[in-house]
Amino acid sequence: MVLEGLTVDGSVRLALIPEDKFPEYRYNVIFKAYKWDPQVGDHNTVAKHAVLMDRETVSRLETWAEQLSAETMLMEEALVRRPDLAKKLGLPRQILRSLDRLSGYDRSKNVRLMRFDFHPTEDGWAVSEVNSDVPGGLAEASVLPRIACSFFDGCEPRRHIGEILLEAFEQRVGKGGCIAFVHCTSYADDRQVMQFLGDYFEEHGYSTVFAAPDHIAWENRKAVCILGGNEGPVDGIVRFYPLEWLTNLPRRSDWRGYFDTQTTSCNHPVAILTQTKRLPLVWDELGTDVSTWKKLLPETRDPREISPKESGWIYKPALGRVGEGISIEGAITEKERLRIVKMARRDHRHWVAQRKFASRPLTDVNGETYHLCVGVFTVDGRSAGLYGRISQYPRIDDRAKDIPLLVSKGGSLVEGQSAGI
Amino acid sequence: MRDNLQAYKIWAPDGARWTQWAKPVMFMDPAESLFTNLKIPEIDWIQGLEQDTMIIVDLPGPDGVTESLALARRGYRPVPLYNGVDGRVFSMAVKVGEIRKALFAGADKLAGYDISPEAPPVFMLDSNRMEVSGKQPGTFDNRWCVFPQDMPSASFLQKAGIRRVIVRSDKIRNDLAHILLRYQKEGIEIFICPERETKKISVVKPSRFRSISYRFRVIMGLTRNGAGGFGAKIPEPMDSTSGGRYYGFG
Repeated sequence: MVLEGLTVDGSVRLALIPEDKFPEYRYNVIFKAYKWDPQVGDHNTVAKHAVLMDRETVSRLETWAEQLSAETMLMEEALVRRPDLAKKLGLPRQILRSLDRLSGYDRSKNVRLMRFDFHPTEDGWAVSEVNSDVPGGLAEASVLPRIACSFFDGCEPRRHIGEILLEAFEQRVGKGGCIAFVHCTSYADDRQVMQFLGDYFEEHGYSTVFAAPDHIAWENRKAVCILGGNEGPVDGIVRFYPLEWLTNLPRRSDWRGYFDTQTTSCNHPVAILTQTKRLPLVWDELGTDVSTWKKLLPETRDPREISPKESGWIYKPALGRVGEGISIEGAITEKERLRIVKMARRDHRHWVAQRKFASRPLTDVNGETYHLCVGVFTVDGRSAGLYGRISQYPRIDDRAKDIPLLVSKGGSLVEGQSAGI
Repeated sequence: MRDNLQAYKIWAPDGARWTQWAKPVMFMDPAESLFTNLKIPEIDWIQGLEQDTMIIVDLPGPDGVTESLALARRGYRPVPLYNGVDGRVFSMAVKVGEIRKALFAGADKLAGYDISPEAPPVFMLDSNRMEVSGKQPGTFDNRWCVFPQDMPSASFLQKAGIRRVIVRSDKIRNDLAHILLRYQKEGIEIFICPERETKKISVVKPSRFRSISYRFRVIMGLTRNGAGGFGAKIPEPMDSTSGGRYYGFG
């Protein structure tokens, strides 16, 4: 099949899924890739495109992700010993009061999952953030490319994040063990992520339980499930419930047990220390190597250090997720942007200002332009899969479309052109 | 018995105008032996097919499915919006099994109806989604809400020729009020039909209408009581603790 689409310096292309195949593709994405939210308002969130990337670009992103992952893990371990700095991270008070329970954290006994979001810009690739606590897009990254690759000869999917997470648990939890998939049980968007992993783990010999965070109790710092019909010991926890939400649970839930449990956790609550977007404001004081972060993350400051009249900055909540609350001109109304700026300045301890980068859009064969975000997963520091999203405006939020990322089996996608963006 | 995907395709056929909004959640678990003899009611509260009318069926459990099939027989396009997950345990807050059975059994009936791809929609909700008050520790809380992003915008409806919305239910629930008020503000008329009589209503502004944090706060507010799930923090109409009216009929 001839690849359609225009190139960005030959390394990344936007190619259309054949129009007559798209309806069946969408059904398959919903059912095989656990895409239970294929529509948000008037927006279809299943892209009609695939992104084709050359191997060199993918390898470079993966290498950066691994370096960022290593630096991030060192920073969070350093922060465990620096509660004075943790206070500057914009974390809820109840979380700060629980940080002393992280002192026994042992990286080797837990599974560390992260996702780094890369964007092609006019100045090369930039990273906008790490989803350190509860990164999503696992099924989309694993299954979408496997469905889409049949449309594009010469391209193949990258790693399967479910498989790599399974391997990580196999190193710590014996086959037949019970894995609890902890999430907001009333929220189908979260259940789809858990069900993808749960089904995969069950197929490979584990028993699974879908549980709310307070379905987990603690006995001698070991997790125990109290959900009716599933009572008993839990050997591993996969949490897809933002850590800061735990503070909203009733006291009787004893949610602080997550902080010092000896049960293998993915992710361990230590992740909250690097989930906050205020991390760059303290990293120079940690004494760890952050050179890759500094190279790829736009300059980040406390909002109060930025004059309201100064342009070229965006504001992000410290614990914002899926693009909510981010002020990007052109992506939101001016009224909304001004409201965000006002909030950020007033409550500056829970926000950051970040130098805006100029996203370099991809153009398809019809002349439509899309902004791309490439999420690179890492598990225990090793790259573990690619998650793609595109948006018609320069903000990746809940209206963005999920897009399969495919990798060229050979060299560059277009011979003779530069591989760099 | 059709498999999951086959059944979903009947309810969300390719090429129908409203297919994009059909929620797949109820179709995700394997189709077990689900023989159900569905009785489709005769309806007399609406006269035939009205091209400018969208209907929201907000009835309990499988009643919503059978009522929607009755409307489908009149030519409307039913669109499942059920978003409650199956806890795969006996002790669930909202029973979703009967709805699922009705959807699978109803697929056979629906496949036999002649519905235009442009037919006006019937969006299907379970009025029990938030009705359960509180929960016991150890039960699976699968209560859920419908959010504005789960349904088409007012401008999309108007482009499709929709001028009025009838809610087939005993009352307007708070989560739905957030959606209906958006429609009303854009000039779409809202009606309710609890039994046989359809009457025009004015939806009053619910709390946190168009708040940037509405969705988050719903999830969090419900989580607070709900042991990881929902917990009925949304005030009901005329709730004395709310200090005023959040919505109602004017």
